[in-house]
Amino acid sequence: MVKLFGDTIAETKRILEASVHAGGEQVTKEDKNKVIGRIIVTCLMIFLAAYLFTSGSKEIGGTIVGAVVGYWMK
Amino acid sequence: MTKHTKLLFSISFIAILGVNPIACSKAFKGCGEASEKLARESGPNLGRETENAANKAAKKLAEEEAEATRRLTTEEVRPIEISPESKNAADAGRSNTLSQNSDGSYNYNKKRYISFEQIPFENSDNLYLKDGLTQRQANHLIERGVKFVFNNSAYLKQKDKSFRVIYLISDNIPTVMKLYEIDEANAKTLVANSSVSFNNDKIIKVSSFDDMIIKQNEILDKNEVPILIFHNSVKQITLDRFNSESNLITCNSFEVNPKSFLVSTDLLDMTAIIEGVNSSYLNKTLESFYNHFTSSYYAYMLQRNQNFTLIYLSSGVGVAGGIGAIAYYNKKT
Repeated sequence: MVKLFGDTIAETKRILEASVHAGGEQVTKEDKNKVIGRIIVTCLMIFLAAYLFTSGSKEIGGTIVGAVVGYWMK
Repeated sequence: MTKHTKLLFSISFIAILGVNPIACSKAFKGCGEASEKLARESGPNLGRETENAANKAAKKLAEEEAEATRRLTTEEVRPIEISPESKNAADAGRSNTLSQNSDGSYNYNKKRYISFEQIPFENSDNLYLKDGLTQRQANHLIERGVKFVFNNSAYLKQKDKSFRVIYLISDNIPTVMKLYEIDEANAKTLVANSSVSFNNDKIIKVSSFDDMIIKQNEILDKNEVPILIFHNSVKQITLDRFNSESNLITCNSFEVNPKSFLVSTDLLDMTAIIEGVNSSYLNKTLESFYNHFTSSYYAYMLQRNQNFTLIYLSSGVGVAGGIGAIAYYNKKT
C-alpha cells in the first residue's frame, strides 16, 4: 500500500533494528551506515537551526527546520 | 529568552513528555511479560507443567461445552460445535487450541470470535492450529506479535519423539554469504555466533543443502525428527527434497511446510534462533524443545526491543538537551 507519510521513519527503524534473518531480504552493513549517517546529519541540521534561531537568522533557521521535518515526514 | 527559543523549548518538552509514557509503558509491559515467562520456564518440573496444562485444557473444554449449552438454551447465537481438536487438546494436556465452528466463527481461550482478525492472540500463547495459515491470518498473527504456531496433527504425531538439529552454516565466509544472502560483515558475525555454540552431537552443522538432505535421511532412519535451520531463499526444487516429517526453522515456514510441528509466521532473527536452540537442545522430546525454544526466542527479542526503546528515548533527550544548550549559551553570548 502506498503511504503518504512515514516511509523515512519506517525505513530507518526497520534497518536499525534489523539483524540477519533466516529468510527474506537482508540488511547490509552499508544500509545501516547510511541510516546512521542520515540521523547524524539531521541532528547537526537541527543544532544549526537552533543556533540560527537564537542568533536572529530566523528565516534560515525556519527553512532548515522545515526541510528536516519534511524529509522525515516523507 | 526570545519568543522562538521559548517555542523550541516548549516543542521539545512536549515531545519528551509524549515519548516518556510510551517508552515507560512498553518497558513495564516488557518486564511483566519477561517475569511471567521466567516463572513459567523455571517451574518445578515438566511433569507438573503438563499436568496443570491438562487440567486447564480439561477445564476449558468443560467451559466450552457449558457455554455451548447455555447459548443453545438462550438462543443468543447459532450453536457452537465443540470441535474434535478441542477434545484432543484436552486429552493431550494443552490449552489455546484454535478451533473453527461450522458457522465459520472461532473458539479461542474460552471465547467465541466471528473472524480470525478479532482474536486477541498473544505471543505467550502456545497456539495450535488444525490447518495451515493463509497470508491474511499470518499478517494478523504478526500484528499480534505471534511468530510461531503449532500444527495440531504434527503435534499429536511427533510430540514425544526425539530430535536432532541440522544447522546450515560454514566456517567459510563466502559460503555463508551465499547461503544466507548477506554481506561480509554480517556473515562474519553469524559465523562467530555459531562457532561459540553448537558443539555437541545433538546439533549437526552442514555447509550445503545436499549434506542437509543426507543428514536428514540418516536422522529419519533412526526414527528421530530432523529440525532444519536454513535461509529460505532456496529454489522450490530444493525444498521439495525435504521430507514432510522434517521440521523447518526458517522464515515464513507456513508457506514452505504448513504441516510441520512448528510453523513460523514472519521473518526470524538468526541470533534469537541460535539462542533458542542453545537453551533448548538438551530437552528429550520435541514438545519440550519447542516450548523452551519459543520462550527463549521471545525473551531475546523482548530484551532487544527494550534496548532499542531505551536508545530512542536517550537519543530524544540528548537532541532536546543539545538544542537547549545551544539556545542557552547563544543567548548568553
